[in-house]
Amino acid sequence: MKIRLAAVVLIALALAGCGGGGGGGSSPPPVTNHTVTLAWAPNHEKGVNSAGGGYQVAISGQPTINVPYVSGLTAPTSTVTTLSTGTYTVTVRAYAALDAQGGSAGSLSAPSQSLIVNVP
Amino acid sequence: MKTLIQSKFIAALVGAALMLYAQVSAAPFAQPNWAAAATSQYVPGEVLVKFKPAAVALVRTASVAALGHTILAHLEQPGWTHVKLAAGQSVTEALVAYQNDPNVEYAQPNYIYHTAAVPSDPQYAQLWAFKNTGQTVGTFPPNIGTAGDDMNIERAWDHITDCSSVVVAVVDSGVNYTQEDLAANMWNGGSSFPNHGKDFVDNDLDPMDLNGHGTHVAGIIGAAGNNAKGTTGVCWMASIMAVRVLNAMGSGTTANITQGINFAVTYGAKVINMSLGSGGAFDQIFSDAITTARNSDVVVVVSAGNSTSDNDVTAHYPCNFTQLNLVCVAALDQNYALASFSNWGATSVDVGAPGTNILSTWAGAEGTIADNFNTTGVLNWTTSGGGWTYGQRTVSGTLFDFLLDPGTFPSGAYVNNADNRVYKTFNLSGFNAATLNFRMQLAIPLGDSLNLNYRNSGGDPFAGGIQLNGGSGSTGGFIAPFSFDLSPCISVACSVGFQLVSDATSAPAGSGAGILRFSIDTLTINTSSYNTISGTSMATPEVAGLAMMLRAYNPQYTYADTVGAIKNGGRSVAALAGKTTTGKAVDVMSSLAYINPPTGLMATVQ
Repeated sequence: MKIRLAAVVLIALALAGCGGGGGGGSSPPPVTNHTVTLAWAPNHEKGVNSAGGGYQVAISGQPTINVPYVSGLTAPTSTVTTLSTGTYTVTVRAYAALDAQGGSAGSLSAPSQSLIVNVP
Repeated sequence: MKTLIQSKFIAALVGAALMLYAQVSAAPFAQPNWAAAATSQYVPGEVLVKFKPAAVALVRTASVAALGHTILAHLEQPGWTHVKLAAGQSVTEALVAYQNDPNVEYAQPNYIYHTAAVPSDPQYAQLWAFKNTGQTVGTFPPNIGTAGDDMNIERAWDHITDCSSVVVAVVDSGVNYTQEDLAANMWNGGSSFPNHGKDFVDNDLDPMDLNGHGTHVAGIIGAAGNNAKGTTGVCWMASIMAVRVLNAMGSGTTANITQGINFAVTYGAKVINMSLGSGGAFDQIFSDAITTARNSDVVVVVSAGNSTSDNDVTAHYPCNFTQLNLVCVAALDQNYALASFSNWGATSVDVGAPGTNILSTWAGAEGTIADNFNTTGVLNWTTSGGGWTYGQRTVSGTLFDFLLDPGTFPSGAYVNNADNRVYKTFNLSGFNAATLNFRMQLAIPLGDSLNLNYRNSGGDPFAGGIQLNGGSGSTGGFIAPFSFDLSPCISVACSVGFQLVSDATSAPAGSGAGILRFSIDTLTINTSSYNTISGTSMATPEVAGLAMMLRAYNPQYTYADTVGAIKNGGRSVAALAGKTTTGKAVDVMSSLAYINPPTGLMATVQ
């Protein structure tokens, strides 16, 4: 298994080398990183806006971002992340500590309507 | 409500939380640890530690001190020590530390237990809607239920019982605001309007209930709970605004109802209950009033109707209005089947709720003064002009006493130029409301009339009395029920009578009137009456009460949030699949824990 993986890495490096050294063809657009701010309207549930509550931000191909309640009247309703060139699908879910049985196993909302983000 | 069994569940939860915590440490935010932050089930800043038997007192003290903790107490339970954590340290971190200490056998949070949130109200055991144990309640079939088919409310009471921050308007027949289980939970209007509501039937400031229906509805929403009296409502503490738009017979008009809605909105109600309806045509001004409520962020909960029909086929208003602040409710029986009387509608009815054999507060003591027109077979009413006689007729195999004109009715006909009067005087003193009921077969051609009058000073009601109804007409050969509000006649001597008047043209054979089952139903307001009745009228306030609870628990909730939590937080019930928009029965705890999906997501790329 390790040998196969190593072979894949070598092939990838070789292809990259060909692309870098070739002449005459069109170059792919450069990949650049951008700062992306995601914001949404605050939920009105008490549990979202108190200890144990907050939001999860899901970005396709990226780790989920946790935005927990910290203090004050509401949980934060924005997050800043860095994304490289590409198209991403983003959704937000809200969560709270209270569960449907009255315990504290937590509840999670359905996802928000998805947002398509194009990063140049 | 937490029990020992649940505490085991929570111990398992803490274990799961620890695992999540480890994952988050390794890969931040890959699995957001929203469950681990739930510390409300145990005391923050404290743990209980059981040291191994070999760990003497000095060793225990050293172990605790090494973590910067202090010993609060050595518990009576052998080996157990109650420990105070260092400032800022979480219980989770402390438990990990103690589990790694070779001197420690076990460590756990210092759990918090609550009293079981079951109210002390003596008739609580009959409230199957809140706790269905399979108990027998009432007489409407089936009156034996299935355990667990209820609103799942007891767990919610661990989190909220005081909903008095949200004003709920009961737009109905009024509310007995002196009833022992309601007096403390009535809206008081504030300094600018120091009343419990308004009466749009009599157009005054006294919304006293002269029917009982509105008081029943109010008790389902917010009868005082845990007060060792009667029943409890969805919330134990509430703020109920009484808006009287239905008269003593339970009937009202578009004009009164829409005024009542606008009053409720103007004076701050955030939930309106309307356990009323009609199978008539679209009512524009009624719809406009619902829209006004929506524009003021008011949730309106209405009943589906009791005619065992599909509202998608035969519209029933206000249920069939389409405003998004409207929730229409069907009734479920004690086994969570659709109640035999309940309307439904796959696109017009939203949710189901318990609606049979519902015990709640009532306006007062009811009585019936029945009269069979005779003493030993002889008419005992006063007559003038002749015509009226006492007789017996068999209807569907049963012999009934009749008041007849002509005596041969439904054969023959009355005479020309008749002024036949018959009346009787009743003592109605001490009653707060009275309803006249009877059944009648009628065939009076144009030009003749049958009049119904009363007079609150006794004697001939057609001499200075008040007419309740009159004119020609026919019941088509059938016997039909009739009801009239007789409350204005309440006095020591209330005379009630019928008058048959004919012109000079002969009436055809079969003309005349036959009256049976004559009675006066009375109501005497008191502070301690309760009643068990059924209807979508009873299911509706179960949901209005839930709306009140949701808005009290989540003060920022809009009507849209509230409706979303009611509809999406419910429990799927087979009997409601294809019969309602959601296929769900309301579930209080699930709705309380429900979280609406976030909205307004935007991105800014720099």
